[in-house]
Amino acid sequence: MTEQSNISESSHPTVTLLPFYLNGTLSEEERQEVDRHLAECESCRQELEEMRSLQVSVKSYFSTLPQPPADICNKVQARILAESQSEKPHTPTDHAPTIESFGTRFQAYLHSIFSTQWAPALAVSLILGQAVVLFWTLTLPATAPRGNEVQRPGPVIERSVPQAPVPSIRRQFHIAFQDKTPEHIIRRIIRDLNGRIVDGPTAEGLYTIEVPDSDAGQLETIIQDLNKKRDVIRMAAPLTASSQ
Amino acid sequence: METTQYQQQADNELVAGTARGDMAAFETLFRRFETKVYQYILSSIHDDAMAQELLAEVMEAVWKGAKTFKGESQVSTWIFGIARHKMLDAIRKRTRHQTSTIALDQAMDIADPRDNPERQAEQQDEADTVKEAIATLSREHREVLYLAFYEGLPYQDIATLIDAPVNTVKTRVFYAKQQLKRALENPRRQQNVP
Repeated sequence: MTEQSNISESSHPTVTLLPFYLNGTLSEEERQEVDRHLAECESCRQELEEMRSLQVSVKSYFSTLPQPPADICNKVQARILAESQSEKPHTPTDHAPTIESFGTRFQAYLHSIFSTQWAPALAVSLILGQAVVLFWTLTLPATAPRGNEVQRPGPVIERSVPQAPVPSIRRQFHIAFQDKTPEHIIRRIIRDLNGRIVDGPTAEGLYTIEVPDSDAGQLETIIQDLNKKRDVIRMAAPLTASSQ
Repeated sequence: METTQYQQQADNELVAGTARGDMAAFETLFRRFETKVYQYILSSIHDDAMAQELLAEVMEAVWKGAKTFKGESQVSTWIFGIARHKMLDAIRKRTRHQTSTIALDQAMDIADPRDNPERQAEQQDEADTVKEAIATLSREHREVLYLAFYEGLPYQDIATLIDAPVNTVKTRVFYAKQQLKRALENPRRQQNVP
């Protein structure tokens, strides 16, 4: 490398422009000014070559700096979406995340299923029906025999009231699908998880999915597996404290 | 991997999309800048854990601040500016206890297995020399060398980014280069220059 440490700006006015001459960002006028000076200044030509060599070394060095972790984008998106949801749940704001194409379409699809006028009446009827059946089941052994039926001694058959199954611990997480993900793929993913949509899609296309699970580690594994399906899933993330 | 339909969009369009709340545009912008921002931070602070956290903070700030971007500077300058601001804050807050320098220590240890052993050793020596020389520079000198030589930014953008007059930028890059040259010529004799 040529020793050229004594070159100064006072005697070589364009020398401080050389780095930018090299990276090609000078204006046309500045570039011509440097060209004119270089044509008549051997020192600056040497300086330029020296700088070119250093630039290669510097570029080479910085290009070997590590890459960021692959999942950092997902983490940031999850943080943003959770924050957005906790601030104004289900209310699109002027800066709420949106996934216009798929989110809107799928929301309309769900709306068509669940928002018909008869749905609430049907739901109430079913609940009342279940209550009547349950009441009848519980009270049947205590009712008196009807008509002239005679009660005979015999084997007592305990009519056991079927006990409600012990509810398994169900866990929830957020998921957002890619714009182009077709609905049948979404249904298949949710079905494969034995999960169900308990909330969403929000304006930003975020669903809350509930899956049967008894171990937090399993949910973490599920979320990790989902995040590998980048072609169909934008992100999956556990519920934050604020969204639980 | 950038979201397909946004791959061809200009940075400005992606920021505009982000300002509208379009998460896909934001993701594309994120993918486009994450390595640049991460390496820029690492060029100044040799702590990969902190660099990851700062990268996340920077991109969250981009999401929140997209509406305030007026297009008066390049998007890269704007994002690097946010990164610099957060980085300097982190440096100020950092305790005296220095964390590991894993990132930079590991950075130059990657060799191409296709190279023959002699050439590989030679390249490793060169890389080690450059690494050591760059490590002797002040943070300010490393920063401007990164921005001018690696990112290829014009001096006007660097001036905006580091909030300094353009003449200061020009002379700082020049002296950073001089300092690096001296460090390369006299390895292991250089001291950190503030």
